[in-house]
Amino acid sequence: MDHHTQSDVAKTHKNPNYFAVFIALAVITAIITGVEFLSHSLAIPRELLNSFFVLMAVTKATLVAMFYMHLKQDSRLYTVLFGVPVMFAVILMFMLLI
Amino acid sequence: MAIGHKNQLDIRSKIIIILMPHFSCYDAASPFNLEENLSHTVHPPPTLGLDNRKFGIWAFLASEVLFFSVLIANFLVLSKQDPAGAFHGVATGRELLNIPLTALNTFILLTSSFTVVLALQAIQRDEQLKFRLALLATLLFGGTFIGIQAFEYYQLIAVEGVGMGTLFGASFFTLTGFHGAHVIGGLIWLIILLFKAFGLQGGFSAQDNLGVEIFGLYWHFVDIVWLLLFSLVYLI
Repeated sequence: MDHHTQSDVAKTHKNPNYFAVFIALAVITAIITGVEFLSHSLAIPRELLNSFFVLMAVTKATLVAMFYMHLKQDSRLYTVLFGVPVMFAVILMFMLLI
Repeated sequence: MAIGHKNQLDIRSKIIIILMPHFSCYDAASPFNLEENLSHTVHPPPTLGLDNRKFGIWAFLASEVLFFSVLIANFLVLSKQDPAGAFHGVATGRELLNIPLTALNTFILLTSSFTVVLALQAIQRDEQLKFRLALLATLLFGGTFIGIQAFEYYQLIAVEGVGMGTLFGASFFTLTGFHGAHVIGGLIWLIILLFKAFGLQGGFSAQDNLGVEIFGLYWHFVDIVWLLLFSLVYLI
């Protein structure tokens, strides 16, 4: 009987470049912090800034989920299991923020 | 008589073979497995091919998504509902938040997530020293995060006078407090992992590291929640 699981299969994949992901996350964090500080001197509408902050937060969360939590290379079932409540949460936030 | 006895045994064997796969103790490789005595094949119980423990933590994290989304929604609705003059010198409680300090804390939690994946990668390669150092670094960064959050609470409560009596205070402390509790829970879990990593209870190896992977999933989720909180609570 073959006892190999999806997890075992995932381990045979090449690990992503964790350091590159970390740098990307740190740079995005630095950018949104900098933009917040400059927001008073920049003539950018607040709604546009808020949309930018949300987009950057979602980008960072997606990077962590895909590469650090290995959703990109693990079984699609985990993505579905985690993605369904995330979809509900996104709908809820979208309704509250608009 | 002898033929009748044989038929009786065959019927009993068939009943056992039908029932056995429904019990977890069923072992297809057991010498008591009667499959080989019959011409037909009995299929094992259906499975997703996933580890139960890993599937379990993902199901738990899925429930946590809904838990935190409700707390965030609660904050988004209530935090701007305080009457004018509820806070000294500012219009809303959000203006009292220390963004540079929180940006630093966000970076610290991001770094702790990075050290967790380094730990997992190290143990998958059986690099024990690197694995232990990465776990210790995670403990250090996680502890620092909680320390800075405690300092932020002190500033807000003792210096700025933000209490649970305001809608902003109640929703803010509930949301960030539950996140902090999750970090503290993760740190306790990490200390237990460290005991095992340093040889107590057998240690981890390249073949046995699912415990590290499952802890990592929890820790990264807590990191994701904070990344969202930083934008939704502090910046928007």
